[in-house]
Amino acid sequence: MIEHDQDPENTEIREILQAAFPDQFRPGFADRVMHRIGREKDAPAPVAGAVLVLPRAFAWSLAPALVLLTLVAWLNFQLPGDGAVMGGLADLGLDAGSVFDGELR
Amino acid sequence: MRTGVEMTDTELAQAAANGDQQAFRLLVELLQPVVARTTFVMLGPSGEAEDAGQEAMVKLHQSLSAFRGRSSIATWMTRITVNVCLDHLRRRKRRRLMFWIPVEDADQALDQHLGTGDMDRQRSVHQALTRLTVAHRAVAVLRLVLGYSTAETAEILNIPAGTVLSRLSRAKAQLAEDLKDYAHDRT
Repeated sequence: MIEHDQDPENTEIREILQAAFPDQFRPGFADRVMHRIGREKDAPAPVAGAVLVLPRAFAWSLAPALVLLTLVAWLNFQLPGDGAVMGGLADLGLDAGSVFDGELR
Repeated sequence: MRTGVEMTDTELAQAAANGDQQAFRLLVELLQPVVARTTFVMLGPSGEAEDAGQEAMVKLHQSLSAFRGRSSIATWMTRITVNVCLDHLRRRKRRRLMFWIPVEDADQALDQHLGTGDMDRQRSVHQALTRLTVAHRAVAVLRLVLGYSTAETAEILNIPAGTVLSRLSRAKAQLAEDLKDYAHDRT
């Protein structure tokens, strides 16, 4: 099938490499390949596949989003203020309402 | 009608392209040694090697209608397998970068898949191969393990013959240095 390179310089390294690695996978490789081909034939079209992937992507992004939200909430309570949730933000200069109140007065 | 045993590789490929599942199965069995050696050397003897082997066979199945018989089916299969292995190595690198997986984990996975008999030898050969860059390893597997000529290797990897020769020379020198103890044990 393949015309082997006859360079004697390469023979020793080739023998070492060939002896170290098998030339067969576990028994039943052909069956597993045929099964996989059958499975991929029945797989949904790319667009439908993308739709199926979306819920999983959402689930993966949900956990970091929750962690971030918890962290922001915790920081908010830790910052000095009057103890209310928005009190922390007010001290950061984010209380837009008070700025407008000042301008109106 | 001729049986699969009497058919040439090209005839088998044509029959498989026409939907003959039995012909494709024979092709898988015929090409398994080339695919197994390529994936084991490129990726190491792990479960990932078989996964890449299956993926290469699926790609062969999908591309058989494009096979014109200008090269042998083994050369065609080797090209597909090398490309699949390069994809796996790129993905492996991305995973390492994303999840900070240390290189040592690959050796642990290797230990789980090696038999007890020649474990040390296999591990040292595998480590010598992983010390080569991917480009040098690809040339080493084609020229040294599978025995393709320089011209065939250049065609499969789509690089100039001069590049094959320089990479081969570098790979051989490094492998000879890394495997010198084992080579001496054999004599």
